[in-house]
Parts: sequence; structure tokens; C-alpha cells
Amino acid sequence: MSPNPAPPRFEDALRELDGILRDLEEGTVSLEESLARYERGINLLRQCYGQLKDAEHRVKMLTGTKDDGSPELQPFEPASAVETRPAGRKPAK
Amino acid sequence: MPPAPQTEREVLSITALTLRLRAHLEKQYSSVWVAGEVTGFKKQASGHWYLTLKDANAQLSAVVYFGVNARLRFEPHDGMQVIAGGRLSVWEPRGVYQLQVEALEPKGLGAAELALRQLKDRLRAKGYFERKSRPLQRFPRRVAIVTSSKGAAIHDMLRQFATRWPFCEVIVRPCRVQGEGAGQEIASCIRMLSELHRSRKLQFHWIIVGRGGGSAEDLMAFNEEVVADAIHSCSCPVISAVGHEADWTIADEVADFRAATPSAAVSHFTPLHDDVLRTFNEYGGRLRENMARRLQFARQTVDHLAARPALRRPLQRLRDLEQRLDDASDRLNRAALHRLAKVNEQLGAVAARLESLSPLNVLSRGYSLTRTAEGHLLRDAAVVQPGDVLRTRVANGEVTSRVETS
Repeated sequence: MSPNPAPPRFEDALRELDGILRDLEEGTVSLEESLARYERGINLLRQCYGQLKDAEHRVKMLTGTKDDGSPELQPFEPASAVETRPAGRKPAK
Repeated sequence: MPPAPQTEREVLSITALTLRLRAHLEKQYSSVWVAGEVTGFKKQASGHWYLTLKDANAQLSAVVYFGVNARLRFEPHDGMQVIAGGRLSVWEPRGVYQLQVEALEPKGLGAAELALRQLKDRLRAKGYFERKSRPLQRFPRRVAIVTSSKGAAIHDMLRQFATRWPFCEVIVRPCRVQGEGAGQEIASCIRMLSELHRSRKLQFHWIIVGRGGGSAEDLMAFNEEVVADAIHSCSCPVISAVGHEADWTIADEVADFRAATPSAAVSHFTPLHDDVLRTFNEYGGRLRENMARRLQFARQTVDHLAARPALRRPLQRLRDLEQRLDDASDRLNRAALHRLAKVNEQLGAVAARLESLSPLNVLSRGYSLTRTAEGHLLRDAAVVQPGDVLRTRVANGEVTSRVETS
């Protein structure tokens, strides 16, 4: 599994949208710039919608970690009697 | 050993045996005193209290009936060491013997409770209770849960995720949450997740550590120092969700945030999918609205500029003026003609009125005017004598006549 999920994150998108709206509301930027900002805003929203639409409830079970420290994952079956390995490495006290 | 011969065999009903035991116990132990630790303390709606007294090797059921407990100066709680006095009896329906408590005294602090208190003091001194409350991601995309894979808690949490915020990936790290060694297991699971997060092998926005409700003993694992250590040193924020609202463990003190229940841990810290969608819709609406206003403003500005005479053909202004002059003189002409016609009209009307007032007009209808010779208008027959001369004016001339009679 790849490390962290990639942006755009909703928080960042909403923050940027706030900035765009402020610029448009204040009307201090040029028309051309306004249009560019508007397009950027619509594009951000489209990406957010797309991500939300693709949202599917994913539940995985962490069974342990490999030698290189990467996680061992498998589908989670609620109430399954799957035995899990006791948590791997000793704590670095 | 072979069964006794038929004649010697005494077969008792369960009830009979139980009653016999009860009579025996009540007679033999009509007044006993025991020392032990309170566990499983429960107050029932009836007003009776139920508890178990235990020491290292054995336990004893006990009941404090309503009325007896009303006389007690304190309310026992789990972990408390007490000395209880009363009589033993048997509760037939369940076949259990129990101590009917008539007197109850606290005996210092229970060992377990004392240990817990000391641990809390130690952890407080280490600064573990200065809650870090690291900010939580508003729209989490991956979280981890450390809890038992069995039981209601994990189901409740996953259901909350599925209905509220399915956008989030949930990593379950199952472990035992009660019994010997449960604390160690919980702690090593938290450390595993913390290490995955720290090393960026698998990152989490936050971790929920918890379990469903249970007795104070069931929750003990979350009071262990090793769990407190793991939570305190965790590389990502931890939400504790142990038992019910009233339960409060050390894990709850050390975690970044504490939720009243496992279910609340999810519902309180995740957005509602539909709310997020609505927020996006609002942003879209405001974007369009503002852009439309901006465009409208731009269009007005352009229109305004285009209307400025300086921007049109220079001669146009002259033409405009000429046209306006033409227009004005036309209007003047028309006004003068109109005025003339009106005067004519007025003159005609005056003439007609004058005409109608002229006496000649009356004469033309057959009337006449008669005057005496002296020229006085004749209005009275008595002023003339026979032989007088009269002049009568008619429409088209004058008649002279002489009076015959009057």
C-alpha cells in the first residue's frame, strides 16, 4: 500500500475556496483574474465532488507489520474469529 | 461406589435439598463477619444493593436490602475494602448462597483502588494528564481503531463510519480488551500504529482506543500504566472511548480527546457526508453568484463607457445638435400655427354672440320697434293721442303712421 493518500484534501480545498470567494466578493481583482479564480474554484469543487462520489466504506484489519515495518492488511470480517498475531515488535523503551 | 440399596436411598427434590441447606446455613451462620473487597456493586430499582465480596482466592455474593442500606453512612463502590456483618442464606431460584448484609463498614482503601490512586498521582506528576488535544482532521481519510473484534463496540463504530463518513478508510487493529495481559496487548497495538504513522508506512488522522461497557473490573486494562504510556507517546492523536458516559479510566485522562462511548467517538469527530455535500453546494452557489455579479458589474462599466460621447464619432455630436435644432424649430412652427387657429376660433365665437344680441336679429323674426315723433320708445298706449305720428322700425325699413285711437 502506498504511503499517505494524496491531496487535494477537503480542508485545503475549502480554505482555498474561502480565499477565492473573498477576492470575488471584494471585487478588487481584475475581471480576467476573477475569471481565472472562478475557474479554479469550480475545478476544486469538481474534484471534491468526485472524491465524495467515489467514497466507499473501506474497512481493513491490521494483522501485524512486516520486517521492513510495512503493514500487513487484510479485509476485515466483523466478528470473525481470525486470530491475530500478537502486536509485533517490542516497544523502544 | 455402587448406589445404595433401594430401601436406603433417600431421593430429595431440588427444592427440598435447597431448603434444607438454607435452614442449615441460616442456623450455622446467623451472624458472621467477613472482610473483603467490593466488586460488581449494583443498585437496583427495588432499592436493594447487590455486590460481591472477594479476596485473593474466593468470592461471596452479598445483598444489602433496602432499609438496611438506608441506615449506612456511606455507599460502597467497586474496589473498596469493607467489613460486612450479617447472616448467610440461600436464594433458592438460582441455588446460590449469599450474605444478607446487616452491617457494613469501610476498611481503609481497597488495595486495587489504592494502587490506582497512586498510579494516577504518578502519571499526573509526569504530566500525562495535561491533555494534548492535538487538533483533529475535520475530514479524516484514514483512522485506526484499537478494540476487540467481537462485541458491540466495533459494530457500532463501523456502522457510524458507514452512515456518516464512508469516505474514511478504517483500519481495525483487534486485541483483547479485558483479562490478564489485555493492558499489554492494547499498549503494543497502539505502539504498532504509532510506529506505522511515524515511519509514514501507514498514516492515520487519528486513533480510537476503546471498548464497550462492562464492570469496573472489565475496564481495568484501560487503567494500566503501560496503556497510559502508549497513548501518551503516540505519534498521532488518540481518542479514548471506554465503556459508558460514567466510566472514567486513566486512558480517558491521557488521550487527546475522550468520547463518552465508542459510538460517540465516531459520531462526534466525523462530519456527516450530506453536510459536507451541502457545504460544497453552498460554495458552488456563492462562486457562481459572485462571478455573475462581477460580470454584471463589468458589463455595466463597458456600457457606461460606450455611452460616453467622446468615444463616439466627433461629428455625431454636431449632427445631434442640428437634429435637435431642427426638431425645436419644427415644434415652434407648429405651436405658432396652432395659436393662430385658436385665435380665429375665439373670434368666430365672439362674433356669433354679438350677432345673437343685435336687435335687428329680433326684428327679423317679425317684432318691431315703435317710437313717438319725439323719438321715445313707445311702451304705453296711454301716452299717445289720436292724430300723433309714430315711426315704426321693422327688419328692413321704417313705417310712419298716425294714431286713430288709443
